[in-house]
Amino acid sequence: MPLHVDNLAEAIQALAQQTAQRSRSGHLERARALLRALNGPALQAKIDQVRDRVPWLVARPTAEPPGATFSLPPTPQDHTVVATDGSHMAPDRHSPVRFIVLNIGRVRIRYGTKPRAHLTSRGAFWYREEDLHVEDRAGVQHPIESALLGTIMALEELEALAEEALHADDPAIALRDGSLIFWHLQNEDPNVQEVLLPRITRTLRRFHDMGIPVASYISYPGARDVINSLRVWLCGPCARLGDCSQCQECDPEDGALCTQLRPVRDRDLFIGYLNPGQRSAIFESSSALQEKYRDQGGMDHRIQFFYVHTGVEIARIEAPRWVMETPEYRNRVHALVVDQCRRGGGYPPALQEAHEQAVITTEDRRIIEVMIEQALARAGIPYIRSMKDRSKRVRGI
Amino acid sequence: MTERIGEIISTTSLNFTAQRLVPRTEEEMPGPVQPPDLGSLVWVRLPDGGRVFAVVAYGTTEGVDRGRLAVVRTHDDIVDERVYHEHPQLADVLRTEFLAVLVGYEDKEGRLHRHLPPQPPPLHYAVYATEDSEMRKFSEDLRYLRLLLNTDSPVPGEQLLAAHVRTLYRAREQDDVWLSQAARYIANLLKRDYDRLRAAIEALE
Repeated sequence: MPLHVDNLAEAIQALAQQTAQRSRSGHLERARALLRALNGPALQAKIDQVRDRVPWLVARPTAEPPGATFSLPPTPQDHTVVATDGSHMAPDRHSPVRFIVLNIGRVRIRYGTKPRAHLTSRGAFWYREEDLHVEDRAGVQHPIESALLGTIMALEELEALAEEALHADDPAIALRDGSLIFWHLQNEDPNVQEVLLPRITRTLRRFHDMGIPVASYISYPGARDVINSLRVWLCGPCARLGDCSQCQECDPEDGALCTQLRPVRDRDLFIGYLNPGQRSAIFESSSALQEKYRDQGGMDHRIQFFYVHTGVEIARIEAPRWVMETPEYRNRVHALVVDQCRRGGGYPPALQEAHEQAVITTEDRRIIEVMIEQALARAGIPYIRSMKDRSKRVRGI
Repeated sequence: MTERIGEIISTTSLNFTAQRLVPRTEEEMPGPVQPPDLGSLVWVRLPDGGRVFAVVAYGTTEGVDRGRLAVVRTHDDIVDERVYHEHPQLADVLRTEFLAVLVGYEDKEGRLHRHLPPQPPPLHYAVYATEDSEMRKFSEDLRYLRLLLNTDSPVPGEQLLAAHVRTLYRAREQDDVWLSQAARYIANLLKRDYDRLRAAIEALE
């Protein structure tokens, strides 16, 4: 039945008004001025003070002053960009069989005096119990579905990225779309974390040993880490960090700015702050999971990030600290990410093509279902889906 | 040894569509992939040992995924083939195809027939360019030109005819005697349509 939009119209109008109002209040300019003047160690001290009381993520300063900006480094003419992306067909609750189809797009593009691209994809069909579960140390089987499925997919993409990077000509970078922080893993059973974290750190270590900086690219990021750090700076000692307009302990102007910054995202802050091609200072994420990003050799792969003006928008670039702390690597990532966005009209073509290679179309899905149905039929098993599913397909009146 | 130029991706009793295949070396700079010349003669092996002949009647380049459209990539001094150097992935996401109209075949005994072959060439078989000597031999008898008048190609029949005759004229090393024969043949074919005839003659230069 059609959606009745009449009663939505008024709310939509109100949203537009709210957005317009927020854009006029000048709080962004004040926030930028604050960022410009921030002192790293002083900010770190305040963050440490409120560490136990602040439930959300803050951006921890590194050796670079938080308000610093960095111009585009020289771009190597000859270079390679490696990227992967994945797509999957999730196990369907209405189907009599359980399986996962995985398709990982793999891209390697060499630019410069010998331009050449390699675009491929590799699919996998998981159906055995051990492939559909993560088994922990105690032997407990955790089904791979929902958030865990997303995490496993990201891990497979990262491992494929490391495989592709083996063939890349120097200098190269390896890029993935989406965070390297594996957020969903934070909420998983610690026994599952224990199984998956070594895979993550082992793979990050591979990039290090290959001499290829790995980074993730997040377009139009929704993160608020840096904003949250500004709010901690403004209202630090005050336990509230919520609606600071009522707070008696905070300076009223600081409190007002803190409240106004509540819905603001880092991208809003940096778009008026960075010039095209420039990057922000490097920050470290305060995600608890980071503490566990140490590989078996003891190397620390905790994730740091910076924001960059790609020429079109603000993107967030995340990478393990060994990338960010090595000038050659971080400059290469900075320069090549901007170069990719220039070539791709705003988004890295390597990531776009990896995505295209990974796509499982509706037609592909139908073909797979038909193949399963036919294979089952040959084995003498009828392919019967749930009645609820049937009611959605037939929609009888 | 003639050059393999494509692989059949669609085939019918009247014509086939082939994807242009260009061998890629590590050394070559990437560039656009062009279809074979309009009006040129190509051939395909048949499973029984014979060959079919066809005239190239149309060529296109599009995205492999029909849903993806080309975007403007010219920028400052990045123009023409430099666009392909700057975006090496284009080679993998573009596809050049050509349509060829069947005009005859050579049976397994080696005899030439200038009418529609009994069988279309099979899907996935390779398409080859015809050498000049074979083009001269095939064009000794022009009865097959009729097959180029009304085809599935968007190219008007009289233009296709003229393109093919021009190709043959060059392969026959500017044989003017043959050319007047061909022109007379065309005049006869198009005798009821003065406009099309005019167009064909003009295109023959």
